[in-house]
Amino acid sequence: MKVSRKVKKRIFIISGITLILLSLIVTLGRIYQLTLLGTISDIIIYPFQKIINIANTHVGGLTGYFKDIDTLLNQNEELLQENEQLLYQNTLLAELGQENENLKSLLDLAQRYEQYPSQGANIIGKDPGNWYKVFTIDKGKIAGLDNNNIILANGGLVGKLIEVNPLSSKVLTLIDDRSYVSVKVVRSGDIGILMGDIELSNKGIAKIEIDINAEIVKGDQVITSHLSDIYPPGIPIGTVEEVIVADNDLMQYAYVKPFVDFSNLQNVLIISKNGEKK
Amino acid sequence: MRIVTIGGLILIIHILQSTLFNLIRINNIAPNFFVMIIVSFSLLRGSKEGAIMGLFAGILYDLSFGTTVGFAFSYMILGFLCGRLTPNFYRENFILPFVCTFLGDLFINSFIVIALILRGETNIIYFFKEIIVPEIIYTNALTIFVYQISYKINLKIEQVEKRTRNIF
Repeated sequence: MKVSRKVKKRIFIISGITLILLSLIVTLGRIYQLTLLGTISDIIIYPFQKIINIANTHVGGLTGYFKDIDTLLNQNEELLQENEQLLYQNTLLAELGQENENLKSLLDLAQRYEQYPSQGANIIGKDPGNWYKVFTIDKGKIAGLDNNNIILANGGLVGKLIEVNPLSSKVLTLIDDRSYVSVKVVRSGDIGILMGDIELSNKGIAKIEIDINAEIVKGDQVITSHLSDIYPPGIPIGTVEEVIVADNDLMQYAYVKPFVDFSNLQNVLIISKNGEKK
Repeated sequence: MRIVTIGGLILIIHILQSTLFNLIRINNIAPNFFVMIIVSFSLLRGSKEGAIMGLFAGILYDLSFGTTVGFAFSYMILGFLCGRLTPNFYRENFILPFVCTFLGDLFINSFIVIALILRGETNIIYFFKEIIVPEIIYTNALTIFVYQISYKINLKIEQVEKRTRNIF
């Protein structure tokens, strides 16, 4: 097809303008939470992802049924033993809880540990690339989710929601390079910043940047700190694997193994912090 | 016909990539199917269709997993550049898609690396050694099949289009 130079120029200008407008729509939509294109793609993609996810888990369950009987028997024994231990610990903890409640009522701290509304969800899609660790879950605005809601799994922190479409939403995990969480070392009370790192994220590990004078050793437990706006205080994150001093002798880095196994994650728990404040 | 088939193809690949293809990761490295399919089709069909395909695929990726609109443009440029080679080569040449996938994957990843450098992550040697090179090798190995398949799909579409043209 032969096109004169003038028309060609015009086509280039028009396509350039449409591209700029498109990116404007998307970015503005992100800022004001009116995801127009996201909604369209959401409606198209969601059912397929959901079907594949369901099929996948069911087929995996069938084969796993025969494969895992041996391990399950062993595990059962171990778990029975553990159960007895836990029962004992539970009674202890119940006592402590009672005591804690009494003391708290004295101190009027009840507000800080309020119970947030929570709901479960399934993971239906993971980032196909090799750089970032983002995944999508099968609940969205219709289920009452909002930006910056907290995601938990297996009793540990997973991350937060960064974008909410009507049917599904995007989760930024804490091992992603773009994620930052303010954390506290349980034993010493020192506060640092937990951040994802590309070199560590494929192993499922994140790192803490913390002051050189802070007291942190291998095996320390790490929880979310009281400084964060998004994350409520006291959510367990993981244990410290290794501590190294930075080249400039001003900081030290601690590698943290989260309680959550990010490669085999399937179900998550969502906590809406905003729901309580209304 | 063409729009429906290719659009459906991109959609299917996107959905499979985010669900089932996580199972074929080797050492946590996944191949990039978008690069394969965009390179194959833009080599077969020319720069205009390549660019549109790339834009569509990139937007799909950005909407599902990105935080900014970035891949849309890089995939579009990839489709456009690969399509420029179409008039000069035979379609049965199975070495060219190989070279193009190699360069294309490098091109897409270099955008990410630039973005990372701007954010202050400057360990480029690690990025190349542990992520980019394995991904390129894996992607290139799968290109053989993907190009054959897309060649056949394209042939079929062109036959159908010819038939409809003869009727009218």
